[in-house]
This record gives sequence, C-alpha cells and structure tokens, in this order.
Amino acid sequence: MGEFEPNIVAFVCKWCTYTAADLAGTSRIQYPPNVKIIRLMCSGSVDPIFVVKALSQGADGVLIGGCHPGDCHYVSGNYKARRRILILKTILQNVGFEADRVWIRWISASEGKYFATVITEMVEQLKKMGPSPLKTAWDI
Amino acid sequence: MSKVYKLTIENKDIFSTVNSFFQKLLEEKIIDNLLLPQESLNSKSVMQTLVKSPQELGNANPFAPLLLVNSATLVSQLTIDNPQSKLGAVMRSCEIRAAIELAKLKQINLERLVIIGVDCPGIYESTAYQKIIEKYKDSQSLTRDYLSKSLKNQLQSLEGQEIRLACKGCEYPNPENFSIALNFFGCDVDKEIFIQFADNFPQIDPEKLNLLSCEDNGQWRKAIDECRDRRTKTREEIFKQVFENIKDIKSFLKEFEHCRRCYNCRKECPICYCRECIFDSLTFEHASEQYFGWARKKGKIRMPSDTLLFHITRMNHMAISCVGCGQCSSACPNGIPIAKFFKTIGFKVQELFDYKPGRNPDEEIPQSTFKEDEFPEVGLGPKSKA
Ligand code: SF4
Ligand code: SF4
Repeated sequence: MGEFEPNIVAFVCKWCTYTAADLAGTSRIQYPPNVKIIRLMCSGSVDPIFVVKALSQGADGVLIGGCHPGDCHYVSGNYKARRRILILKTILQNVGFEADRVWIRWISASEGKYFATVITEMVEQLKKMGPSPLKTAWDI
Repeated sequence: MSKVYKLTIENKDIFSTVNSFFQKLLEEKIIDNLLLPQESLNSKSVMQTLVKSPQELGNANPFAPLLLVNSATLVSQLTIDNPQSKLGAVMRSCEIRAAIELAKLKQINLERLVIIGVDCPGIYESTAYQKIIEKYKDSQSLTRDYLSKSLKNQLQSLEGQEIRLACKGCEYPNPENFSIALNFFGCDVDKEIFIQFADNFPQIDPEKLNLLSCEDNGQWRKAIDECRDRRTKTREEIFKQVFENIKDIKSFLKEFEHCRRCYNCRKECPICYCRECIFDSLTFEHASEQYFGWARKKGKIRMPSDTLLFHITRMNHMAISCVGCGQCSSACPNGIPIAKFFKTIGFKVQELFDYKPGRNPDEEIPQSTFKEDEFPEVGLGPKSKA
C-alpha cells in the first residue's frame, strides 16, 4: 500500500464554490484528485445528516463550500449553514470525533485558485490526521 | 414581580387542599379543562388525566414522584388545533421548558394554556417507583413521605431507591414561565404552601380561592437556591464524568453498544415532535447490495446499521432545545444513560449561542435565525487566501 490518500466529499453550492471548482478546471489549475464534489443549490441546503452519513460511510473529511457571507444567492443560506455546521462540529467534537475533518469555506465564483488551495490544504491536513476512525469501525 | 399568596393546608392534608384549589379553578372558569397526574386505584401508579368534572379530582396527586410522559407532548396535542377553551396543565420545570420549546416550534399554542407549575424535588424511574409503592397504602402516603423527607434534605433514598440521575443534576427545581405556581420548598407542607400568579395573569379574587395575601416568601427562595446549588454541583460532576469517559469516537460507540434501535428515546423525547422522523422514512433504507458492499469493504458491519448516524442526527435536531428531562433514559429498555450524554452535549451546543431552552418564549431557536456578524472565524482557512 502506498501513502494514505484521504477521501474527501465536498458539498458545494451551485452559485459560488461549484463555479470556482469549474474555473479551477478550465484554468488548468492543479489540485489533488482526492475530492468528490456534490453540487447543491446552496450551502444552506446541506443537511448535516449527509455530512455524518458521508463520514460514517468512510469519508476522511467533508468540505462544505458556499458563497462569502453577504453574497448568498438566496440572501441568507450561508448564514444558516454557518450555524448548522458549527452545531454539528460541536457535537462531533463532543462525541469524540475529530471535528477538524469537517471544513466549511467561503469560496466565490471567481476564486478558482483559492478552491485549489483549499483542497490542497485539506488533503495535507487529513494526511497528517490519518484515516478516519469510522472508515474501519464496523460497529457503527 | 408576581403576586404571591399563602394557601393554608386544611386538616394537614395537602392533597385535598390543593384539589379544592384546582376544583375552584375549574368552577370559576379560570380554566376549562385540567391536565394533571392522578393515581390509578388498581395499581397505585400515577398517570396523566384530562379532567373536566371538578368532582373527578379525588385521586389527584400533582406532586407524585413519577412521570410516565413529559406532559409537554400532551399539551401539544391538546392546544395545537387552537381549541376555544383554556387548558390548565400541572407541570414541572422540565415539562414547562419543553413546552416553551415546542411553542417556538409551533407545536403548542401558549394562548390556550394555563401553566400550573409545581416545585419538583425529583422523580423516580417507574421501575423504582413500583418497588417503593409496594410498601405504601397509596401514592398519596408515599408522596407525603417523599415530600417531608426531601424538603428536609433527608431524601437519600426511599425503600432503597434513589431519584433519577437526570433529576439529581437538574438545576431547575422550581417552575418559571408559569401562569400559576405551587411552591412548597422551605414550607411545612402540613401547614401551608405558596401560590404565585404571573403578572400578566388576569385578576383573580383571592378570597374565592381561599388564598391569604402574603408578602415575603424568602424562606422559599432560600430553599430553592440551596437545592439549585446542590444540583448544579452534581450536574458539573456528571458533565465532568461524561467528558472523561468520551475520549474518542470508540468510547462513545461503546456507550451505545446495547442500543437495539427501538427509537423509544426519540418517542419519549418531547422535542422530537416530527410526524415522520427521518429514521422512519425511506431515506436510509438501502438496497441489499449496498449493505453487502459495506460488509465486503469492512469484513463485517453491525446490523441494523447507522446507529451512530441515528444518535448524532437526533442530537443535531434536538440538542439545542434539550431541557434535560431525562425521559429518553427512562424509556430506554436497555438502561443506556442517554440523557446524560444528550444533556451534556446539548449544553455545549447551547453555550455557542448563549441559549437556554425554555428560558423565554420570545427567544428564537438558534437554528431558525442568525446574525450577520457572528462567528467571523468560521469559514476562513488556516493559510491566507491565495
Ligand atoms: S430525530 Fe430528528 S427527524 Fe427524528 S423525530 Fe427527532 S427531530 Fe424529528
Ligand atoms: S431507547 Fe435505548 S435502545 Fe432504544 S433506540 Fe434509544 S438508545 Fe437505543
């Protein structure tokens, strides 16, 4: 087996972060291929249950990407997402799961380069953390 | 400031005195129906009853140390369709706080509700109660013993049984957000108790209700404060113990190894009001091939799967409003101390927003609102933006 390659699931909004990922691609910016992108209409439509489901099914990390505060296409979706993900991370931390495996980042449509940076940073951090303990736990 | 009165106990019988008080509330049409615990003469158990006829209060026991359901759930059922009548409901602090949360979730109509709060020295698990009651002739004599001992702080145990852990660590011995409150801490319950009316409660005629005006209830306040301090200490010990026990996700999973996924905890949770819980939906019912796939990957998987997902998701949905009533633990057939974890972690979540469930009906539940300028650090990366 080679070096541990983290598995990242990214829930991103259609208007900003997904467009940024697209821009990264069309601009031929390189970033690690460890991420599986799931496009939603808004970061506010990321139900925390799907973050937990992804983690319990073996994702090493989950990224939630949305528009910068104030820029939400639906006015306030990302503000609501911010509270929800904060609640989720607090719960995860307190049930003994490393909350640092869940990232939330504001990445606008024009920030293709920043999207690549975030993925690179996340992969680096997850490599340091190692595989998620839920990946091998059978009794969940 | 609320208005405080004294209720003199007739013939050293707190039950008949309080019952005639309730009777008058019904007769004077201050309330149209009354939800309160009554003893069943068959089994000496104490259950919630909905009373219309003032003559049917004979077995009422509003102080019994047993709570088969958190009555907030029942109050929801009885007020949600906006009836024309006023429902009186005898409730402990945890029931009132749950009701306030349910009102925010639009599951209770507070306008149709007259909350009759009672002080609470704590309750027993139903199984413990059943053992204790064998030694007593009825629930009233048991309750009398329990009240006099707990008010003198001498209630270590009754017939070897202790009150529930949730109650030992409950920092809310007295009701708040009531219309009427029955306060007996610091009282000799053979002689008198205090009755408080909320400020905004319609004018009543104290004479008709046999109430004597009184100014100072400092003795009550002192007893309540002492009890709250003692229980807050216990709560802190419980929190500490939980954090010491949960070192990693494996140790958390260990606590739920006995979970049989009966969903009783969810069913008894007053905050889990959903008509169709996501775990009763098809969302996580996968095709058999999926399960085979996961089993192939890991070698084996626990069935039914997604137990962790269930408990974390339920926490995610209700922890912010968790009032720590302990009904989940009481309902668990396998004795998992669920409430201990949910209250502790709920407290952490509530702290984020300086939110106290049940504190104020005008506050919004944190998930349903936001502030633009809060948590500016969330969403920013460790490195500067490239
Ligand atoms: S777990 Fe969630 S979806 Fe299920 S009843 Fe509770 S709040 Fe509703
Ligand atoms: S009541 Fe107990 S056994 Fe049933 S689902 Fe809840 S934790 Fe599991």
